[in-house]
Amino acid sequence: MTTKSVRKLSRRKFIEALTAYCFIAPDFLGLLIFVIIPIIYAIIISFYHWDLISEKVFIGFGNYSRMFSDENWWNSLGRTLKLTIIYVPTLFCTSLFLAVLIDSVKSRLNSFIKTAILMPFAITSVIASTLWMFLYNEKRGFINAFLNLFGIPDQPFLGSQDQALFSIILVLLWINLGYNMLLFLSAIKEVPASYFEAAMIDGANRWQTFRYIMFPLIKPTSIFILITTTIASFQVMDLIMVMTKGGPFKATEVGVLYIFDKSFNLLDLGYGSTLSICLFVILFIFSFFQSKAVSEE
Amino acid sequence: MKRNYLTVAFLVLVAIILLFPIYILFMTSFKSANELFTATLWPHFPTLDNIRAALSSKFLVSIRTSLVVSITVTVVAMLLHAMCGYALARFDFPFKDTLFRIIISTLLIPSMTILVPLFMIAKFLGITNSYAGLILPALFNAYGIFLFRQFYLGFPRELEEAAEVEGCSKARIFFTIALPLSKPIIIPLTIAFFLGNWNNYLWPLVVNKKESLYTVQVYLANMVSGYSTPWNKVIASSMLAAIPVFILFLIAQRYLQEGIKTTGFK
Amino acid sequence: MKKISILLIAITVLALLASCTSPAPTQPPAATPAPQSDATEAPATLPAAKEPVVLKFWDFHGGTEAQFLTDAVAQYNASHPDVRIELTNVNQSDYITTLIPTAYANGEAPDILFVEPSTFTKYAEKGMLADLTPYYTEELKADMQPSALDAATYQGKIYALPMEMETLGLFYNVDMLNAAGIQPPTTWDELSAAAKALTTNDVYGLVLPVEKGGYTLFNWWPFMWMSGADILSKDRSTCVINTPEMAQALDFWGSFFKDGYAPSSLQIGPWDIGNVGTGFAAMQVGGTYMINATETTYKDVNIGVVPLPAPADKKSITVAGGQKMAINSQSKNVDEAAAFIFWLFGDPKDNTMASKWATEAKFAYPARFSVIKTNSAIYDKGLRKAFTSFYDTAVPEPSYPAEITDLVNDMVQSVMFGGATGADAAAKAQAACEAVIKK
Repeated sequence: MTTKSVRKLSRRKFIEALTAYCFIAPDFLGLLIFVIIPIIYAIIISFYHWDLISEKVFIGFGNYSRMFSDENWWNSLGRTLKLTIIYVPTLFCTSLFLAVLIDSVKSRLNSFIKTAILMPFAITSVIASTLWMFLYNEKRGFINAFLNLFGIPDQPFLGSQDQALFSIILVLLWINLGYNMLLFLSAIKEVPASYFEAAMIDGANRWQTFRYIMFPLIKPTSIFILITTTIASFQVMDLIMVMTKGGPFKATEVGVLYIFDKSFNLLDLGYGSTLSICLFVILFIFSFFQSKAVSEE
Repeated sequence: MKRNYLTVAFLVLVAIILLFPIYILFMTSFKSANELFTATLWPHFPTLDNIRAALSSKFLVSIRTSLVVSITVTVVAMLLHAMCGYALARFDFPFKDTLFRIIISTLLIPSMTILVPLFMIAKFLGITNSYAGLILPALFNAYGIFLFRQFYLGFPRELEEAAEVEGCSKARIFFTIALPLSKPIIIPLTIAFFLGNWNNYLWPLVVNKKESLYTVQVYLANMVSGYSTPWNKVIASSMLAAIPVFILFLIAQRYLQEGIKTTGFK
Repeated sequence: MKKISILLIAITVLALLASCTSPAPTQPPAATPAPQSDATEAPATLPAAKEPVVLKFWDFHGGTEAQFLTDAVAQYNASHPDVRIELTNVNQSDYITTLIPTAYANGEAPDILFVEPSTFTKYAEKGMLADLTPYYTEELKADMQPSALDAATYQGKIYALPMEMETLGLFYNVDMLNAAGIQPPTTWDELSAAAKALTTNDVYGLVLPVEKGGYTLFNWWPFMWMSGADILSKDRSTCVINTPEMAQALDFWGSFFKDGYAPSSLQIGPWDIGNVGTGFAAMQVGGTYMINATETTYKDVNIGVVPLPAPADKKSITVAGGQKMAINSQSKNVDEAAAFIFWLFGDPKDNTMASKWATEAKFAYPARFSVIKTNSAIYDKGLRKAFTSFYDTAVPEPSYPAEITDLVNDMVQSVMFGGATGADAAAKAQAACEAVIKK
């Protein structure tokens, strides 16, 4: 390699890097101002006692040591984990399953099916909560009216310690199923049809084509869905606020709800920030292992 | 062939079940006040009173505000995020992974935690009680960047490589080749961005106190105040507020069909 | 381009660091003259008309109540050219959770705001409210219900202007009770029996609030007091939660949920008489604020009111709560703001507005004797008469620090839905309370 071509190469590299920074700069600056600086601020006040009104008082790791002995916090985190562990795999599998099914059939009904499954995504969580309270109502709800047809007695759903969290997960699934299905569908469509044809000629069955051709090729989308739904499941709030406010007796008091309560009801923003940072760390570890696990597949 | 029919039948059943709550929303908005809370499948005494009551001038103003905010954010954010995502997926440059990790980690903090500092920044920039205050902070969201990056990672390299051999600059390749072929991801993202902003509640509530700039969600939430909530009006307004999004879905739907055709060429 | 952005970041960071110390809630002495020129205003060289003082006022009411306030503000602005009040309407749950705290943290809080028992002590102890004592004349104090004045006082200073006293009673569907051959209950045993008898496949016997929060406690207090229990001793120095009376009240309250006579999840809020009005339940514990809806939205439903049932050997007690007006201690114009709220609800010579609020905009007992006197006819009309008959049994809603409120909430919730017995819950709350008091 001559020195000239090396210089040319490094010049190209330089231009590439410069282009990259120009592409990233607007978004990164915006994130910096409107998200990253506020996060740094939250980290700073996690070392303070601050009720939002009086002067902040520096208390070192006081909030952190309080967090470790705060039984209610760990219990609420436990509920978040329960929600995540049920919700994320269910959403992932059902939306992928539906996407594969829709992709596999040719029918004039296809566009109706896709739009119908996507429709619930258009409903705000606040409206969805109001709407589902019509469905979940114990004595005059639609679901119980339906169950009664089969001789099943009225269920309390949101009013029950055991059913409330599941009832909320069901609404989450209802809202988000269609959108994630759509993401999978877009990814599947990007897989060149020739790959499947080749596999079919080699005598692969449907499962094998899916497992060894399609699934590896849509991996970036899978990682994306897994990580973003996990994050979203940690931050479910509106729905719970309207439907149960964390009740009955804490059955749906998940981590973010506890943080909200501490920050704004008890006016302890320093402690609320501490808890948020704890949530941040847990999510970070979670999503790190998720992307690891999927990549090594 | 038979399997095809069975699958379609199954999918139609799923679609109907998922549509049922939405049917309830529509149907309930035509129910009379006496019937509102009964589990009947259609209104026995259908009425347009609820819709008429819902269509107040304040409601229409809030719809307009929400449209302006959602459309602006969607269009601008789409371009910014596509550029950023493409750079993170395709370009080689120092601190690439670090930058990506920083961007992604901004997703991990609950939005209410940064509510107070974000308001401080908005106040400092002088954008409270204005469209800028509603729009600017909503533009920057790692979700879109992340999705674009993942999309471009799975994007076939062949086309770009061909252009590169011909001596096109990286930036030009993005604008002339990659971006026009990004439709399969732009469509779902348009839906997500538009909807995310249409449905955004906490930030518009806090940053703006001007009634003329209330977004539709803030307007709806204010209706459920007081000791006697007008439920029939709330339900009808909720239904009407969802209609622009439904329309967007139906438009997007047509382009989704197109997405299939373009795949054939690859 | 880059330089500008770097500059922008630097400025933002600096500004944030600088704003870390939020403005101390100092207020000008009450005698400071009014004119206030903002630094951002145009140069003062122009001899134009003096800019009016702008006062921000946040409201969360709905319907006729919101209309009353809108009209009152318009009237005041018209007659006071030197002042401009800007009224903003937001919703109630966000008002006390996100909006007010976020605004205070940024020095953006309204000059005039509403406080209620669940927020009063919290705000007063943190110095968020301006001292209104100097604005109270002796004449006004004499016209004020002493208990209402007490509820607006924190450590010897008056921080709010009470505008209403809302009391609780037992609303019931007259036709449903008649059909079941049941008399409106007067004792706890009768209430339990009635709730049981009235519960069917389609209807609940009784609606009580279900969610953790201020409204549930507002309903809970009279039941707790009737049993003879309390949270803190009179001087507020010790916790007196763990008593057999407390356990008894908790078990009674919880039994409606455990036995399925009261719904454990509510679609229509517990503050909305719609629960009885739409036939969802036969009885509902509710307040004076429901009366307007019984005469308008649900005028076709035959609804009655009786005092809250009491334990067999005890007297019925009700609670009196309600909103108060207050002024932000960070406000630059405390005098002007005070002039407005006292014009509205605290003019000792003229109670027109106070009367309008308590009789037309809504129905509530006023905090002032003179209002009842001038409007005696209205207080005997329809269901109001029932409320008037037991008005003298009202005890003001207590206002505890946030931590105490929180643990009482948990105590009640754990009996309602956590399967705890009253005795266990009371013992646990006692321990938590002692830990808070020690701090």
